[in-house]
Amino acid sequence: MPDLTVDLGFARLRNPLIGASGVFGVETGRALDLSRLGAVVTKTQFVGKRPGNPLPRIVETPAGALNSVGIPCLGAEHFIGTEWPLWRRVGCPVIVSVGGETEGDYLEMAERLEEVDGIAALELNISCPNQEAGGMELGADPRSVERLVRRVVERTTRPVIAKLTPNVTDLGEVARAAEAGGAAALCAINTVLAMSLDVRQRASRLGSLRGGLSGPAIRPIAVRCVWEAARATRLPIIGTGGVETAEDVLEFVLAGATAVGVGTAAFYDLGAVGRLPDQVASLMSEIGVGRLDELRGRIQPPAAGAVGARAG
Amino acid sequence: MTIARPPEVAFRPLGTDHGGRVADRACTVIGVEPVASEYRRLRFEAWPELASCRPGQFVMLRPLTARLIRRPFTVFDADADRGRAEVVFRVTGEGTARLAGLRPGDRLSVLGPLGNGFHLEPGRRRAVLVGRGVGMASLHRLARHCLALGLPTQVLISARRPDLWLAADELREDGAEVLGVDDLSGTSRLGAVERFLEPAFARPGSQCFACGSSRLIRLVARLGARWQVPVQVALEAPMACGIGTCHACPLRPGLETEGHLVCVDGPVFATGGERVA
Repeated sequence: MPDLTVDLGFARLRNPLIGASGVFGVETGRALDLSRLGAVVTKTQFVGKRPGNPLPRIVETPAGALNSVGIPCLGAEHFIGTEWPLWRRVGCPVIVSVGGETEGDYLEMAERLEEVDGIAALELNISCPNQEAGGMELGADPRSVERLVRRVVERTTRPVIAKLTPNVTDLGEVARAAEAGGAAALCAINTVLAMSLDVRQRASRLGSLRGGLSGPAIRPIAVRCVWEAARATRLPIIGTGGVETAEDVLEFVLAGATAVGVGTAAFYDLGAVGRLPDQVASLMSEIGVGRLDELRGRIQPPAAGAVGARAG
Repeated sequence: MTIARPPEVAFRPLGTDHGGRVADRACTVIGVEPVASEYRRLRFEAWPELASCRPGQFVMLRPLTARLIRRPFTVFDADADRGRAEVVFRVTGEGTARLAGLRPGDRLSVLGPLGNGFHLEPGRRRAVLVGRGVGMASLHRLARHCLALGLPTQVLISARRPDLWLAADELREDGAEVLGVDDLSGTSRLGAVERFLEPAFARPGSQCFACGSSRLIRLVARLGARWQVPVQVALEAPMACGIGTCHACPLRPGLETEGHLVCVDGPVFATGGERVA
């Protein structure tokens, strides 16, 4: 039986699968035993209440989903008082995703969460494409990222994970900035900034013009980003983007991920998400991998004679 | 998808229980057949909790082989003894087209049972059901439930044309008083419908259930307020998860109302009373 455990440095997980932010809630436990996962990340929490974006908020696109939900949120008081006690009972480590519109918002939320027991880590959402301020805008600037991560790390006793956006020219530079700021790990990637238009209505198919693309459509982008982040830093990486199958999970590990997030698939195949740990173990046996460390980052060089950049 | 959710009507959650166990399973398709000209009736093998779900509860479906976001459908009919359930829908896009193309023996990915379902108020001895178009699919099982309980049941079915009256003959045979109205003949005009409905609302002990168009929802909400008749409306909304996580289906997006979701706080809501959304 292969060893599925992974070590993120700050936490040891029973398997590499992490329920990604925005897709898992306490209520997911009604249909899936969350203790089957290595860890789960909450929806992004803000200090104050936030309305979401106009409807429609989620539309299907080829092999993906485009969303502009806008992270509606009931605020820190509700999260800490009402929601967190439920999270403590899900049976796996829980990472709290933290958001803000300004640097001060992130710091305040991190400080508020100090009064709460049992949080495995904070994941800074500096990569949401659907926020008017903060989010991706902040996460695309290496200097802002380094400064924010450093200031959060100074104010929290929790390990800090920086969730990166793929919507940058040089992801490695942002990854290095997060590392310099003191991040304990990286999560790559958040959704890809995207649009979908209805020509008959001559309008966006979402209630907003732009949204974030997720699902299998972005998986190759995410794998490339994980590889770039792994080359740029020594931090453990949670590889996320379009994971559906055990092959996908190990693909991210091969690219350099320590753990692997699963997101959009939970919207259309929760049952399959629950079966993933066992299927990863089977696939590891099949390809002769006893521990995930043996696979991580071990990409073989391209075969001799292969052309460097072939058109797909 | 048409979203019948008129802004001037106040909806409030019924406070009926939900939060029970939900299963995500692969089920075998029994068949897909056309019904009422433009609709499709998809029958599949269902596990016991689904086959005995409450009228008004729904499922999220996709063909097992199509990695699509699942689409929500109210359970049109269910047979707990034979372990079967069925939904009726109109083909409006890729998701419903793929479901319509399923053949007997194909596999279906099913999440359910979801939502709260209708709530028959004790002491209300008459049921008045008002459905427009494929919205009748959300009311059919409730109508049969009311008839099985021996409640006098009136059903007003509105559609563009008479051939689109879903389940009209079947419910009539089961003992319901069915009135079909349509746009072709003009019988579906609001004034005409109101003249038919008002006496039904005026009878003591009536309770009304509706689904399908903003116009009709406005009308039954108004009549309910006038005659102090409880009105429950099944709402539909695009959604991705069905269990309250994705927030694609807020009843009314907004700072104070974001928490009320069609999937878990509905899809059945009461009209009138204290306005929450």
